[in-house]
Formats: sequence, C-alpha cells, structure tokens
Amino acid sequence: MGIMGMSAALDAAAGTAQASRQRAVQRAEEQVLVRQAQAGNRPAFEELVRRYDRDVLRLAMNLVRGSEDARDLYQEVFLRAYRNLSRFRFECSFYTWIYRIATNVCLDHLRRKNTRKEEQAPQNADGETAPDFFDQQMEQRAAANPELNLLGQELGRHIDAALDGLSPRERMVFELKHYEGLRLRAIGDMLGTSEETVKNSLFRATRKMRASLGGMR
Amino acid sequence: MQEFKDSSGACPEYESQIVFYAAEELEGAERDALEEHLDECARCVAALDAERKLLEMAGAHERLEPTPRMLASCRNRLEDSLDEMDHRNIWTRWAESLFPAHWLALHPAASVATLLLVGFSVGMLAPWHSRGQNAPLHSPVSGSMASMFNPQELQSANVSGINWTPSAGNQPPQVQVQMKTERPIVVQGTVNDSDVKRVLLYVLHNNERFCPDVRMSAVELLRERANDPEVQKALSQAVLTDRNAAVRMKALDALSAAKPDDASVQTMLQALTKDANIGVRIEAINSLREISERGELGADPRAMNVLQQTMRTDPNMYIRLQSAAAVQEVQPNQ
Repeated sequence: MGIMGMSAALDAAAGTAQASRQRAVQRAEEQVLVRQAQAGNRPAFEELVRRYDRDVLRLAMNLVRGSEDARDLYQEVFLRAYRNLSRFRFECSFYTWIYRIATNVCLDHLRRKNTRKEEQAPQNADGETAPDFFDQQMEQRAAANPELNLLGQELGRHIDAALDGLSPRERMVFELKHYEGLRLRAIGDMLGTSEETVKNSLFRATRKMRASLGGMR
Repeated sequence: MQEFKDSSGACPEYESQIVFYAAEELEGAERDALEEHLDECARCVAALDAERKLLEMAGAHERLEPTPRMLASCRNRLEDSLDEMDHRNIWTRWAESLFPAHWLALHPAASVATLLLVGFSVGMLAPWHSRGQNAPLHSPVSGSMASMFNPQELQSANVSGINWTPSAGNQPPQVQVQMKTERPIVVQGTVNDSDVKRVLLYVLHNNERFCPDVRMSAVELLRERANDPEVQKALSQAVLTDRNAAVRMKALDALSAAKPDDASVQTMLQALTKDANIGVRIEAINSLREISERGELGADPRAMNVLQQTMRTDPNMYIRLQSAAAVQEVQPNQ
C-alpha cells in the first residue's frame, strides 16, 4: 500500500470511528429522553415520536396501501407506546421497541383485513364522502409523473396482487427486508422471533411472489 | 425440468440458499459452498439471475412516502389524544385515591351523597379549569416567524386560531396566530409585521387547507393593508376561488376599502357576472358603487358595460335593480 493508500485508509478509519462515536452519543441522548418520558415528561416523549414517526408512518402506508388506515395505525402505535413506556427496560434500542409495536399493530390490522376481505364494500362507491385531501395529493403527484403512470400501473397492480397473496407475517418480513432494507436478525428482534423463523417466512414469501409474478418476466 | 415447475429451477438443496444469497443474507461457510456450486451449475446461476430480477421487479413498485402535511396532521392528532389521555388519567387517579372501590361498595348511601357532591363541584369548577387548559401542555415556540420556522413548516402548518385585540388610536390590532406544525408556533405582532402578513397571505392563497373562520379572520386583518398590491392579489384570489360565500363577500368588501388597481376592478366585475351566489353579486355591485363614489373607478368602460349587461340579464330581479341604480351613479362619475 502506498502513502496515498495508507492515508485514505486512515481517513476511512477515522470516519468510521467518528460515526461510531456519533451513534454512541445519539444512543445516550435517546436513553436520557426515554427516562425523562418514563418520568412523565411529555415533550421528551414527543421528541422520541418525532425521531421515528416518519418511518412508522411510511411502513404503515406501504403495508396497508392507504393513508386513512395508515393514520389510524400511526395513532395506535404511539398511543400504545405512551401507555406502555414504563415497561420499556432498555433491553433493546428504543427504535427496535417502537418498531416492534408498529409491526404488531400492522400485523393485527393485516389479519383483520384478511378476514374482512370478502365482506368489504368496494371503495369509492357512489355516494361516498369526498376523497381525502392527502390521498388526492398523492394521486396528483403520481399522475404528474408519466413514467410512473406507464411503467407503474400494470406492474404495480401485479405486484399489489402478489403481495396480497402473502400471509400477514410473510408480507411483513418481505416489506421489512426488501423495502425497508433491514437485516433478518433485526426483523426477528422486532417480531419477537428467531432469525430462522424469519428466514422461513422470507423464503415462503419469495416463492409465492415468484409464482405470482412469473408471467411478468 | 418439469420437477421444478413451481420452484426457481435451482437444485433443490440450494433453492433456499439462493433466495438468501440474493437478499445478501447468506454468510460464512454456506455462502462459500453456494459460490463454489454456482461456479459449476448453470441451472442455479440462472435461478439466481431470476431471483435478482424478481427482487428488481418488486423494487420497482411505487413506494408511498408520507408528505410533511400528512405527518404534521398525524402529529397534531396524536398530541390531542395524548392531552385527552393525560387529562383522563389525572381524574382517574384522583378519584381512585379519594374513593377506593371497596369503600363505595360498603357505604352505598354515603357513596351516592358523595358522588352527587363531587358531580356538583366538578360542574361548577370545570369551566374555570378548562379555561386554564386552553394553553398547550408544553410551551409553544413564539415570536417572529422569520427566525422561528422555515417555509417547509409553513407548508405543513395548520392554523388553529387567529386572535386579535384592538390597539389604541389608529394603530392596527395586535394579532396572535396559533399554528400547529410539527411543533406548535405562535406568531405575534400587527398586520404591518411582514411575518404576520406572510402567514395571513398564505392562508388566503391556500384557502382549501384552512377553515372558514380562519379565512374570515385573515381577510378582516388584511383589510388594514388593502392598498398593498400583494394583499390586493390575495383578496382577489379569495373573491374568485374561496368556497365559502361569506369569505368571498368579505374579501370584496376589503378590496373596495383600497384604492383599486385594474386587477381588483376586474375581480369585482368577474364576481358580478360569474358568482352563483346572489349575496356575492350584490356585494360586487356595492364595491363598484363605493369606489365609483370615491372617484376611483376611472374611465374604464368595462364596468359600465358589465353593469348594463347585468341590469338586463341577471336572473335575480333585486340585482337587476341594484345594477340599474349603480349605472345611474357610475355614469356621472366616469
């Protein structure tokens, strides 16, 4: 390794060390916030909410593919977290804990949705109330992107159908792995199960997706 | 190949490993073994390729991202629920500590009397208590907006209330705008402060996002600065686009308070000819009459033409009569 190479390696090592220090500081800050929130400090809890709520909302939106349900899930996740904050024992990170609640709430929702699916009335039926403002915003955004329209519509329908064919747990694992980019071990922690079980769910999900999307390739 | 019809086409013992390899979840000896196998098995290479294409295809699925507005609305709703929960918890704890359930069960007569007394006291005291509760539980950020929040926050803001108090003499009223963004913000000052003005203009330009009361207050306050071209533009937009007729009427009234520019007159004429609401059309005639009385309508023949046309063709008789009266008044002034 030349001098330039050594210098680059040292820079990289210094960068990694700095990032690691920053993470440690963030973890310490978070622990303080959690303790304050556990002592009844509302602003501290709200600060914790602000750190993770975008991720939770995005997860809910993409799992249920609807903003109204996603908002209800968001509400349920953080109210549940608030009620159970005293039970948090720092055995995992707060992020993992909040995601565990979020995945539980979303799984319950997906299970209920699966059992109701056959009874459900079609959406946007005549006489329904005006569409939600935020939904409209998203539709308009999508409509303004012709590429998304052309490529996305047909493929999107097929992928939606394929994802719908997964069990709630398979759907959750596939989402967390391939869309949220989490490691299987972390997913296991969140779902309160072993990495091996998560692997099985991912394998089954992939097989089903392959069977559903086979014709598209 | 028939035996692999429902699977990936890989050798059965490697099928699951190819799935985890493509997902970058295969490590150590298992990974090494699979890589060795891939060097000599075309069928598994093809299966891995197909697996990666499948993930690529699934990755092309449109991802939904929460908008700042949606996030702000979720946070506001959560905050309200937490307030409610905290409030309920305080009362529950207080009641439980005062009257344990077993005591109530053992003394039924005393329990009834006590509960009546408590109910009466709560009824008398609750209004005082709730007045004190109007303030948010945590202190909102307040002060000049330029230093307190950025344009993105303004875009996701929900104006929850506009309060104002009259000032002495000819001074403009003191305004307090309560905003709920990702954090509560209170903007204070007079309408002459550029920050306050900016929020009020934002309300009118984005009228679909705010309730009629807030829009009415914004128009009322901006009337003080009706000669400002930016304000005239916002008021004109309110006249032409606001869904609430009362807001449109108020905006017309505010426009007529200023020395009108060409666009303002055009707005009044459009309201007169196009607005479906009779009240708004009458207000448009009144506005034209008012500025004509002040000699500010100018020599523009369009106003006279429109009024004459309305006098003949408006479906409402009262408007036809008012238009005729306006024609009489406007003519000598032009």
